[in-house]
Amino acid sequence: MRGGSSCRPRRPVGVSMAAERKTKLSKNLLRMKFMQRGLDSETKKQLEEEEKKIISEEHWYLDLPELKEKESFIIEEQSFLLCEDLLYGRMSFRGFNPEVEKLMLQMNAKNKAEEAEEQTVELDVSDEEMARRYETLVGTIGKKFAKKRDRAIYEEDENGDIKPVKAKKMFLKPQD
Amino acid sequence: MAEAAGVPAESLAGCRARAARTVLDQVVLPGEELLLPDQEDGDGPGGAGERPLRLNAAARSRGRVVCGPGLRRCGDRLLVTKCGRLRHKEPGSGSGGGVYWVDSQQKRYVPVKGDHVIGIVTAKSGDIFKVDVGGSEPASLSYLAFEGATKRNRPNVQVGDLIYGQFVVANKDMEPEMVCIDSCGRANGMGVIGQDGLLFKVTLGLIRKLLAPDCEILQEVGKLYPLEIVFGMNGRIWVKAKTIQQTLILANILEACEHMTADQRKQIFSRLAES
Repeated sequence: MRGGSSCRPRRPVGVSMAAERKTKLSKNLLRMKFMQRGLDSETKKQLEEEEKKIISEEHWYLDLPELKEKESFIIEEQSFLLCEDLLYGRMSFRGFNPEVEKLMLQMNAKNKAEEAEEQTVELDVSDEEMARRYETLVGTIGKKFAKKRDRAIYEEDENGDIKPVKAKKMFLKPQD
Repeated sequence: MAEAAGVPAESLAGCRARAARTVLDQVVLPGEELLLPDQEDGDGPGGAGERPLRLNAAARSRGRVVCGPGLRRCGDRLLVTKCGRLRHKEPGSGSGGGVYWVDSQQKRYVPVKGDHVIGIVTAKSGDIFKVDVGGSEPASLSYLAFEGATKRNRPNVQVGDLIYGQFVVANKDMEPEMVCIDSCGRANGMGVIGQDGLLFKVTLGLIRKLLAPDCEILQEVGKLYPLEIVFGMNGRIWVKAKTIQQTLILANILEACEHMTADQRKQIFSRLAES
């Protein structure tokens, strides 16, 4: 007599099969996103914490006492530029190369400008004279740009001063 | 004189560290250790009770000390690595404890970042030029590192041309790289040096002496006749004047003025001015 698979009751495919298989699923598979959609938040948090623990335990660290790094006050530089103020390397004398002469002034002035910051600029024209000139300047330049009708404003009386401004004649709308 | 205390008698003389301040402008030899100003007093014999307090305040405000060419940092002290005179420059504005360096003489140039040098183009390979600057290996110069250079618009540089440029990368582990523009992209006088003229080699110390702000030699030379000079920090000088004879005279003067005293120089200049 054949005891066998034909006599064995067939298990229905579906839930019960899955229920049996669940016990054999690996940890990595359970950690996958699609498997966790069904879990509730608590189990999710637990799983996350376990993962973090595993990761932090895997990190290597030196088991030494903490050494305080000494702050050093000395900087090493191999360049002579810091030590000595050297002039710019290209030079021209007595007009042999005008561009280089211009460069010389520019580059050497740049070096000096960095050092002497508190040099005051000498004024050629004093402030008062500048204010006086500017007063009349506005009038003369303004005259140039005024239209013919506005030139009446700039008429000068006998002293040469500009007359006070009169009210301009505007168009009066008729009342009727 | 402040000296480090507690050194056993049988140790070598080089173990006695001197204060840097006392050795300024004197000859120092490689292997000597120098104490910085705020360290020396702590070792000094029997200072008064309030001295240590004052020094701590000074140490806080000392700022950073820069050790320049010829010196190295050795713990808290400076170690001399070249023989020459020790120099010091006070800090100009506020922070920093100043710069210490050794004024030495040598003919062999070692590339240093930021230095302006004269190089000779030895090879053109692809996108870069190989430029001989007198160091242990040729520096590389990209064709885009010129003012106004683009991929279509290449600079007109041939093998054998003279280039005035500066280093952007220069350390003992990598091949030096130079460029002919500054950080803003302007040439500022760098690039190919023109036609004619004469290139010759001098010691590095002479270049620095000639480029000092108050150099009399250059002022006198400039009065002779119209000329143009380019100084490279790698010991190379290029000169050009109107005639070949004038150029050669100039080259000879510059080479010789290293070993002449001021009087001899004045004699020579006066003789030249006459002729």
